[in-house]
Amino acid sequence: MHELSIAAALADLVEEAAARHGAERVRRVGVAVGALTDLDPDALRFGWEVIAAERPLLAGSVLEIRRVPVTVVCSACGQEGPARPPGVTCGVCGSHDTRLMTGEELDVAEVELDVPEGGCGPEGPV
Amino acid sequence: MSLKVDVGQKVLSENSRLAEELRRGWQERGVFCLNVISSPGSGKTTLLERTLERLAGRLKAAVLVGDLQTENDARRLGQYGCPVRQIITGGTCHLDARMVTSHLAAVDRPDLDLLIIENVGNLVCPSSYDLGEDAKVVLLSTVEGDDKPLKYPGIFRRSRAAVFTKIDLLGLTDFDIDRAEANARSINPEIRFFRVSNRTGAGLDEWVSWVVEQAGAKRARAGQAAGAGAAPLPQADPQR
Repeated sequence: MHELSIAAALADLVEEAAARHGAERVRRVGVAVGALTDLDPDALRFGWEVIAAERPLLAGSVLEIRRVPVTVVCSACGQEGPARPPGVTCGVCGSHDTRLMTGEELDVAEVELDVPEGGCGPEGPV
Repeated sequence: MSLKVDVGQKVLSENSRLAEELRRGWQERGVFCLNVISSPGSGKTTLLERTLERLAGRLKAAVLVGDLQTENDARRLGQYGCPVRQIITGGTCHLDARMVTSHLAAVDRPDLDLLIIENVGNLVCPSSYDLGEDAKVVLLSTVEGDDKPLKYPGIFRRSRAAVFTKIDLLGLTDFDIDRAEANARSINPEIRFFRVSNRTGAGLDEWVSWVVEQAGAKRARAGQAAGAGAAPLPQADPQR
């Protein structure tokens, strides 16, 4: 399943971030998923549960998925805003002559970690 | 205690890193790489058979082909005088940059012009995994739905070209090829179209000419870059 591969890659990144901060546990992971990525949020959440169950650092963590809409800048009418679903045509005038601003993201935005009191602090900007 | 950390990293950053290494290597050498993607049964392997036939004597090509199981496709493609290697993924629904990196040596050669990667039959997952290619090419056959570009925007968005296959069957289904093109263009205004029949040969020369032209342009760019750098390549034409 596609979302399972994505969840596994996500888990590797999250574990790396957790290790960098000396975390004992990961509580929450925030991901941004663009509408053009063809990813199903429910399947991704399910994939995350499967992967996290096998990794003690991630067990019980919550995956928070932020859907990012498709926004474009239109060269025809000059407007910037939501595209007309399901593609990238201008939501105002329908022109194909657009430049993509958002909608292709597949990013780990932030993680919420349990770190020991007075233990390893953050190393600095990630 | 709870600590919130901003990460701001692409989920597939490791795959992207490996893909960029591949891309850099092919850029330096002037190797043009195509990543061919479609649903199962759209005609990828047959199109590549017809393509390799027509490339003989024009480009030195090699092929990596991905499938969950069997070496069937590699066996078919191996009949045209080019090095071919099957990548068996087991259960993974797409090729990734790590797989390409580990199988590349089996087909590579110093004078390679063109690497074709036939991806696993799947319109969803391959779209997310950069293989370091110059261009993704998506296939859509006339026995599929003409609204597929709208249903699978990711791959149509990321492809440089769309090849409509099985055009000899137009009229036998409700597939409206002009509507399919319009749908694809609404997802990707820049996408280039080819209409082919692997059985009759229609449209294949135009498709292959495009591949040859793209590969030639890549080779020329590499030659210019080498000419501008420290060590000129012996075969680079300084007048180009």
